[in-house]
Amino acid sequence: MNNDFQFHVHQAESLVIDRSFAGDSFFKAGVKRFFARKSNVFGLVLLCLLIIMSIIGPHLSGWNYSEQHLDRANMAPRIPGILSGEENLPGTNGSIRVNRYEQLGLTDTYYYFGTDELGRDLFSRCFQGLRVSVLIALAAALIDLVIGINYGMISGYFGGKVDLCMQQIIDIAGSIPTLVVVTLLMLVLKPGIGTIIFALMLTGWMEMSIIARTQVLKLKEEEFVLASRTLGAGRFFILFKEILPNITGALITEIMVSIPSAIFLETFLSFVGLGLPIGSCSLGSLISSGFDSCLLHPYKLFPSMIVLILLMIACNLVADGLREAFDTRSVR
Amino acid sequence: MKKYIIKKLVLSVVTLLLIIFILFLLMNLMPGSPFNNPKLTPEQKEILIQSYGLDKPVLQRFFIYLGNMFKGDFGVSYSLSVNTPVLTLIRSRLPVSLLIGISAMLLGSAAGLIVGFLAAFHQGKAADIVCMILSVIGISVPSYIIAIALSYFVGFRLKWLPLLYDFRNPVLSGIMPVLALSVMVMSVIARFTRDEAVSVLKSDYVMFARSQGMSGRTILFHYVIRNSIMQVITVMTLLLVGLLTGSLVTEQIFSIPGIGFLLSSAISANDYNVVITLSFMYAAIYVVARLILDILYGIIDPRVRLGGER
Repeated sequence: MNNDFQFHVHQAESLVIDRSFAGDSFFKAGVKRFFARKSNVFGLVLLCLLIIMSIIGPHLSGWNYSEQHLDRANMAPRIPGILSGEENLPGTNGSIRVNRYEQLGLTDTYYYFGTDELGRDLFSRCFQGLRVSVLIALAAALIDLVIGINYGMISGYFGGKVDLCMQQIIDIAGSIPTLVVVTLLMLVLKPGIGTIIFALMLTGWMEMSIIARTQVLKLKEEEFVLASRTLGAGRFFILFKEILPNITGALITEIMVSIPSAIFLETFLSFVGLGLPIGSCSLGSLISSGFDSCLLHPYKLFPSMIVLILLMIACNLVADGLREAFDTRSVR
Repeated sequence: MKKYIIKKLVLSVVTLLLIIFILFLLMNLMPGSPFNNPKLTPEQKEILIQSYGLDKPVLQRFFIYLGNMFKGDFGVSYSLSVNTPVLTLIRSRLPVSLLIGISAMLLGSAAGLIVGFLAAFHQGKAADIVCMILSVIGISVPSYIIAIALSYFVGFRLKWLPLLYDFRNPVLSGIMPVLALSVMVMSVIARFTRDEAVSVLKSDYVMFARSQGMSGRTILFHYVIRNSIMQVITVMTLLLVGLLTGSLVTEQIFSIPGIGFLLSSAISANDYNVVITLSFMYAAIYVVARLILDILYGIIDPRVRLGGER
């Protein structure tokens, strides 16, 4: 230490890594920003709860979602200690209070959300419908991942004629409204979850590919890409090993953004009667049939409606939070 | 500029032709035949098929169909109201849908702009948080759920407004459908306006204006609104198409005799000609809206028409 011209090798070594103020990668920093906001955490927790319920929910009440008990039709909700199973039936002169459970002598039967006009347990049906919505969300994410990202990245990275051609296709395909495509597909093909996913495959990837393309365009002239190229890396190596890890944040955000619209599309179609065939159930068809009888039995309408709203809010909160955390607003 | 407009025009026409072609192909793929009456003898069927020109090759039929379309002949309805030209059906239902759609658009945009600017000016404060919670809820809740909730609580429980649409009293019975449709418009525009306005407020020229001692109102009208309105108008145009989707169910719920109701009943009655024509109409509205938007952009922002990054 007393010789100024001596290298302090041992000291330099200990200073190489700054552990107390370690810098985060872009992705890690984004995740930290995401969890710093309460509304994001709330949305994420809600989303996780709903996903868990979509898995275990249909089995919780002990009744199958498609099991019919015609003698137990239109039972009001009954929950131990909270709801007695009574309901007001409106008539022309006032209304009467009825408890169908007592009439039928069912002392320890509990339908948490009541039953529908065929005596099917609405609790199981509601969460079975949620399961369909979650499935659709997964499909939408997968479509984004497989088609959207690849299409956009290739179009953006290769540029020139490839880009022009691919963008022209999007221009034309994108100007056919989704609703029109889906409606026609439903008429031509067999209605069902497969057809809805097929319709999503035709229409759902475009937004994502536009985002992926702009992100690639931003990065492809950067020095690290040039460095990789001078080292002899191939095009696809650069695209997927160099660029892709750097745009993960924006892509995850866009996946999350596209999910609510996919869920909306399915419930909307089922509500109109174009979605799932009769027999299977979706939140949309539950709301539709609940609406048909809501003047007499309002309890049929609300559970599925609230579950759908919660699901949409959770997805939108998470999507918003991600967008803010990864700051992709300026891109859109 | 001319070149840019012509390019966009050609592209739109190609798109529309392609859409017609796809629709036509799909129509041919539809299961079943129009002549499946068991009383028909094979000879009679032959005559019918010939008289409708169905014996010609697909491509030739497509051009005949196209020619008829240009003459304004979109075929007749099969099942909803037999042998009525589709165009007559649509013409009688369009005004109601347009009236409700445009009122919802106006109401929603006005409310959205106010909420958005309010939130931007009080960024991070209570007003901002309330506005943004409202807009998240508004975006999350589909318009048909709002319509159902309104018709149940306001129409059925409180009995403030008529449950169903009544053409003799369009104002009072139109309130609920308009409200149901405008919530989505409001939330999207509010959120978008807020983002745009916040980015304008953060800019150097606004900071400069502030440092000059300009009042908040001057900054709002002279800087923020002027610089953010163009983006907001873009979103509005695209929302117009979203309104069509919303009207499909809202009209069903309030039984409004409009285009959306026509489409949903045509779908359930398998009235193909009506479905195809309406689908084409929706697509055409979208394409034309985008064309106008692109041309407007080209006029306003030279960077767009001169190419490069899109």
